[in-house]
Amino acid sequence: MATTIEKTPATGAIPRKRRSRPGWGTTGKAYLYLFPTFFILAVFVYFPIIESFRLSLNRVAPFGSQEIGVGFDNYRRLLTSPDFWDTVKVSVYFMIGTVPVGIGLAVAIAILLAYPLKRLNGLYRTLIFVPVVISSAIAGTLFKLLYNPVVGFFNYWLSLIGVDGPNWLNEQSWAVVAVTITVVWRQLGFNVIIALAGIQSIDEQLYEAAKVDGAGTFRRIWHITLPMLSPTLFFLAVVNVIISLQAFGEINILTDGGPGRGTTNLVYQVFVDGFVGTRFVGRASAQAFLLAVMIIGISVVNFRGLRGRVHYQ
Amino acid sequence: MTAESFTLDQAKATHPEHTPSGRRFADLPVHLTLLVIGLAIATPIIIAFFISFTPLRELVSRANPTLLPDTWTFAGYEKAWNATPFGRFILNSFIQTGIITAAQVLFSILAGYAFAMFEFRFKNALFAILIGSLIVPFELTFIPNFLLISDLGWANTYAGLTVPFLASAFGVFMMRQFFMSIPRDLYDAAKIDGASDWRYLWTVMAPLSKGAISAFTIFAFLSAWNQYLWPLIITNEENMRTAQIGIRFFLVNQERATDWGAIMAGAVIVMIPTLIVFIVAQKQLVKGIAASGLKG
Amino acid sequence: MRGKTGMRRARWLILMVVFAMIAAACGGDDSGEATTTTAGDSGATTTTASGTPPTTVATAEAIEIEFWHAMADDLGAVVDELVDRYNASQDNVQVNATFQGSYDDTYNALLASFDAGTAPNITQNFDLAAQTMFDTGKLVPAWQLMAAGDADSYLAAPRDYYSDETGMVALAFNSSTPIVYYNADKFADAGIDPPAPDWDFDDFLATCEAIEQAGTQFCVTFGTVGWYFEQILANSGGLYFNNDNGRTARATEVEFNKGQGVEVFDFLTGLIADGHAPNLGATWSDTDSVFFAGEAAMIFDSTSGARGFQDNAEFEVKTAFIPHSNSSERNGVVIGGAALWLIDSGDDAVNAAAWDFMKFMTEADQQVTWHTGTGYFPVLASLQDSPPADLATFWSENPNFVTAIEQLATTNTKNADGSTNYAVLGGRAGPFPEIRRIIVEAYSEVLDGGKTPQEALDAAAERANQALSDYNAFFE
Repeated sequence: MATTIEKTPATGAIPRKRRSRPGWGTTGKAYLYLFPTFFILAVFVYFPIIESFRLSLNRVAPFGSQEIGVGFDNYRRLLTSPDFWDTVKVSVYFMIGTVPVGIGLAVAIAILLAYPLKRLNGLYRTLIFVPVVISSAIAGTLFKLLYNPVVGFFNYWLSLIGVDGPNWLNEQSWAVVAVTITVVWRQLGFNVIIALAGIQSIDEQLYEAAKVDGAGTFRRIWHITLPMLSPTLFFLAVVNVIISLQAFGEINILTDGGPGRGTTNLVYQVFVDGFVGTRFVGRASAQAFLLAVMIIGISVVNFRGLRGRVHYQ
Repeated sequence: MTAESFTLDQAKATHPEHTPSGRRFADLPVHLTLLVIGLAIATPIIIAFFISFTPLRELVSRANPTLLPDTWTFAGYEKAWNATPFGRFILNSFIQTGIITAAQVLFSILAGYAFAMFEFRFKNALFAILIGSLIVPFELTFIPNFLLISDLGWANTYAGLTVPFLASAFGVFMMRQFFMSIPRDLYDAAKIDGASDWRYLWTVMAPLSKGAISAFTIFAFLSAWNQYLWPLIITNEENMRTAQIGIRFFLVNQERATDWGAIMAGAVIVMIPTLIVFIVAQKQLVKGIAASGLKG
Repeated sequence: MRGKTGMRRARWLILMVVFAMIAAACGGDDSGEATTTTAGDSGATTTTASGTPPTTVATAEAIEIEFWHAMADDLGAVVDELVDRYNASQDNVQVNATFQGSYDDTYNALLASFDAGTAPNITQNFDLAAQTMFDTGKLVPAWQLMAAGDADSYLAAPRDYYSDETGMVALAFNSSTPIVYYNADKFADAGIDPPAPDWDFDDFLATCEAIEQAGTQFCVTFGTVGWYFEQILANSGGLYFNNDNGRTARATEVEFNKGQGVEVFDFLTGLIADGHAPNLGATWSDTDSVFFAGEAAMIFDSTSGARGFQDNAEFEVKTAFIPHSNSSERNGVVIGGAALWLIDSGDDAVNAAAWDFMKFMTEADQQVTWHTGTGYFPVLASLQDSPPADLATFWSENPNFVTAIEQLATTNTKNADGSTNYAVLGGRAGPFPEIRRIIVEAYSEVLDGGKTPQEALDAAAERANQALSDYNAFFE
């Protein structure tokens, strides 16, 4: 992930001044080692950015062989269209729904998991980490069953405690919740692992000192664990924000963006415009560009944050 | 902290409630809470397992959903396996994932080595280009990549499924970080003994970095295995679908009343390989993920 | 032009490869090994793994024909049976049938395959795709290969639906219409008669009342897919597009937000909003579960489900016509389903072989197997005018299979003044698939968004008109 920059003083890594310019011999050798990676990145990451931008300035025929140059019209129409802002809104809902809940749950579970139990540790970890290996497609499939109004379990369980369960996937407001729960669940294993790693890297002596001072469990969590965990929490926040913006598989399987456009986030709209029914590739590309601006913006904030962190350490 | 030195299983003295010994009884609430949470998290998977053995008629006719089937049936598995070539899907997934993982690991080692060990022209610029690619979201590139792969006639081929993902900037970065932590004296000594870079990389560096390499391997394996959007758009022949896409089509294309038994059977079939990887390589996997969070 | 951009992309790639070779040539130390192996690896990947090769090479042996279809499960099994029958019937042509997923999936796959150069020889493609299929310019129209008068052996509705100015472009293969399936036991419990063929919305709601009073939770169930709106609108005589439903000139605007459209949409959304039908979203399968479970007494579905409903329900299933609006007379239905399209392979022999198979699929024997195995109605006029004895027996034993045929046979294809009734000929427009999606969204605008049917349809119309003008811009 982008966040791995911390240890890379990207500008100061090579003490340039002290050495003479590297010769072409070494350079050639280095380029051979680098070639496969950079070839792939050039063709499938950097070139597509240019091509994507070019497409976004065109209207491409849905039946596939003509283009009409429209300048920035795709962008203008998107930015002035309520539909576009609805997809932005849905993206933001997912973000608000998944990030705090997902991280909060993960930290709480990680604190419990860090408790030095004598046995059964392995079992709990296995049960709790398992969503890590579950794909979005499978997560969507499993939860589609749970939400099903006829054969599903969620509403049955709710009825046991006297609650009349909602129509999970067919009412807009609940569909957003349903997708959010699924994404939180699939992301939980990853988040717990990261949070646990963060907790376990906290210096034990801090706790000992606090104990001597007579601080109770919750005070120790509040005053030591959480502050010391803040870099990890920041990392989790950034990763989860990006993941929530990119939610796709669950939506594709659970709701197909519906009901209405209730769960059509930006990614999903790009997919629909680019690949479903009547294809409007130019518009899709323009949206992809706007989405990329959002994600890159968040990544940059992330870089900044990490740089700050290096300083305070 | 490096990926190598880190392991979650050192449940060592790093907890607010750390108690050196005894007090087993006081652990009970923690045990109970963890068990409940663990079961709750695993519930969707457990349910899928039981439903996969439940006949359709029982599912739609009983008043309330129950976990255990009244009559156990393999009909769901038979239907899933026969109606859709799940075997082929899983083979495709393994081929796709295998190619991507192998290439990412190999290329990352090579490029990571170059960045860690060589001085060469435009090093800083190239490193910036590498790191810059990390923040380019997939959504920006997949439409042009789709068109390019289509123009090359690679739709519905393993090449189309894999080639765009053969390199990993994250992998290069991770390898570089690790290689840089290995003392340079070793390198100088090897040079004096007349070893080439190529030999040094594979006989000294790689074995020393086994932990980091295997952590990245599993990380790469999982990301590739769970790919969804790209295989969805680049394959349209049933024979070339991956397991993830196979389950989607199986679910969406139920002609009559959805046969959840068969669908869950398909889901279980698709889950099994990753669950096996998870159980066998849990430590490596956790290490790889933790490393991505702990930044080298 | 796409071709040109394709070239540009390919050229760019070649440039990269040249760069690679130069780099490799410059290097030339021990580590060269790595790059060579690598290049070899990926090369091998492409050659050994590049999937199915183009099938257009005619050999001395059988010509291979790729046939894509969208028929899942039981329907797919019948397709396979027919394909096997064809392959066994002669030695010159070998047809490989591939299931591509839903209609949407198959359509998307086809458009993508044009880019990729992996297009099949024949594809089954759904009704709505007709205009785009015409516009691809990659077809061999059926009229080019048909003998004079051949087209008249088809029923008028499927023939005209898939025709351009010259004649039939695609061969209607699986034609369907929506019908109402009902749980006869529930109707008996409620003490109500079978629905009349020309029942209107008021009749329908009266039926609902009786059923619900008799203790069934829902009167009806249907998915909020676009099809029922299109069909009930046609049955009420309303146009979907301007320019005679896009039949006399390219459609430039939708008409569904005017007159009949609003009444129909009000009825459909009202069924859900008033609790007569559960809100199951745009599904084709969850509705079945509700119907089979006896929670709903009626279901809107395609006639292609006749076999499935009859065989799987634990109660007696009967069928009826779809209703029409109160302010209209019954007009009839538009054919739905899909047709077989011949993709130009550039080789006359291959095209002829593919055509031979297409013709085979619409011959009487195959259509009888297809009809009795599924519920799609036979597209040949002769089978309806003078059915062979076994088919006549089948119909008398399985009246559910007759409903769709009668519903279509009694459709008013001409207005009172003898002009064409474009409402039941069905809409045609390039972005129809997108517009259908917009209608699905309009359901939710009413059910979730609190809009009136009129407001939701107006908003939908605005978006649909934009899609039409974006599409039509390529023909100005």
